[in-house]
Amino acid sequence: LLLARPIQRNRLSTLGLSKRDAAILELMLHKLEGSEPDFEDAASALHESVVELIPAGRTYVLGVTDRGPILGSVISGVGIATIAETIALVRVDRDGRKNLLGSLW
Amino acid sequence: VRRSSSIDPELCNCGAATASVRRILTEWAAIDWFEPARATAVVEATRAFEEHHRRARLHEPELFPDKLELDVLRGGWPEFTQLCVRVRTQEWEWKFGALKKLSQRHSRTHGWSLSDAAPGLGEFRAPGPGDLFVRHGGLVFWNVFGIRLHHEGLLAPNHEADAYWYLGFATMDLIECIEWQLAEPGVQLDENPFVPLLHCYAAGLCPFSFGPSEVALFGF
Repeated sequence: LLLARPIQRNRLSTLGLSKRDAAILELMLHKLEGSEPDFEDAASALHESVVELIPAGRTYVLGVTDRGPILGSVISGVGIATIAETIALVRVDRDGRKNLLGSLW
Repeated sequence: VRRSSSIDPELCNCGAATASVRRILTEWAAIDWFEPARATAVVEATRAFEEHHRRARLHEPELFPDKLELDVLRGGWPEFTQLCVRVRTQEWEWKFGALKKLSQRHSRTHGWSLSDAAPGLGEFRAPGPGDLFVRHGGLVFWNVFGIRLHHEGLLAPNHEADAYWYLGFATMDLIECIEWQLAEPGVQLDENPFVPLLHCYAAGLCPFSFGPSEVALFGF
């Protein structure tokens, strides 16, 4: 986990994300640009981005880590979580397994 | 394909909407996903989908046209996958273009918001089987109460992926259905346009929408 490399905004499209997930994450990162957000900031930005881009947009608790919730999409299982002291992008499968896609900062 | 759900309807408490939400969740938990459709499925599912469309049209006539072309398709996993690919790659998006707008406008009409719906929630804790919502910081989020399929390797990986993709979108319909009751707790279930849509799934046919008035009901 400690080897996770930060994801650049222009690399979101290389992670196998849906166009919708990538657009939401890009908007979230844009909202947080220039700051050093904590998880609560990131959660708020994610929630705002989902609401702005999707009618009746909802953010789901996909699972938990020892540091708090994994928040993201019920369709793709892609979400954000605090992992190894950083805010990370993860994909949660149906068995609850967490696949780290990279850190966001 | 056996299935299990992470939610226990009897543990859900949501004020005046508790009874209706429990019933919705109980019926949802009983759905036999991706099983061969029984003899009466086509009649039941067709009737349910037409009723869904009729009720939705009462609220949003511009989103749900008067004319509805409803076809029934039968096949196996290859045909199911073809339909999933088709709706994933077409321009029209049924859930985002019609169903979520229907839900959003209804919730707005009734002044419903997620944060207001869960005033008693304390700070974050891992969600339990009766939790519809979870609070984290100043925000409230839906708990994902997904379905797990237990097929003992009988499904090819690509078919399993499509099954879960489809279930993800169907789960959104469940959430819209529940939110409808939360936004308007006094409404009868037979007025909620998402209830008959869930009945269509329960009858054993999977709707695929190719346009605002063009729908196929697929049965295994």
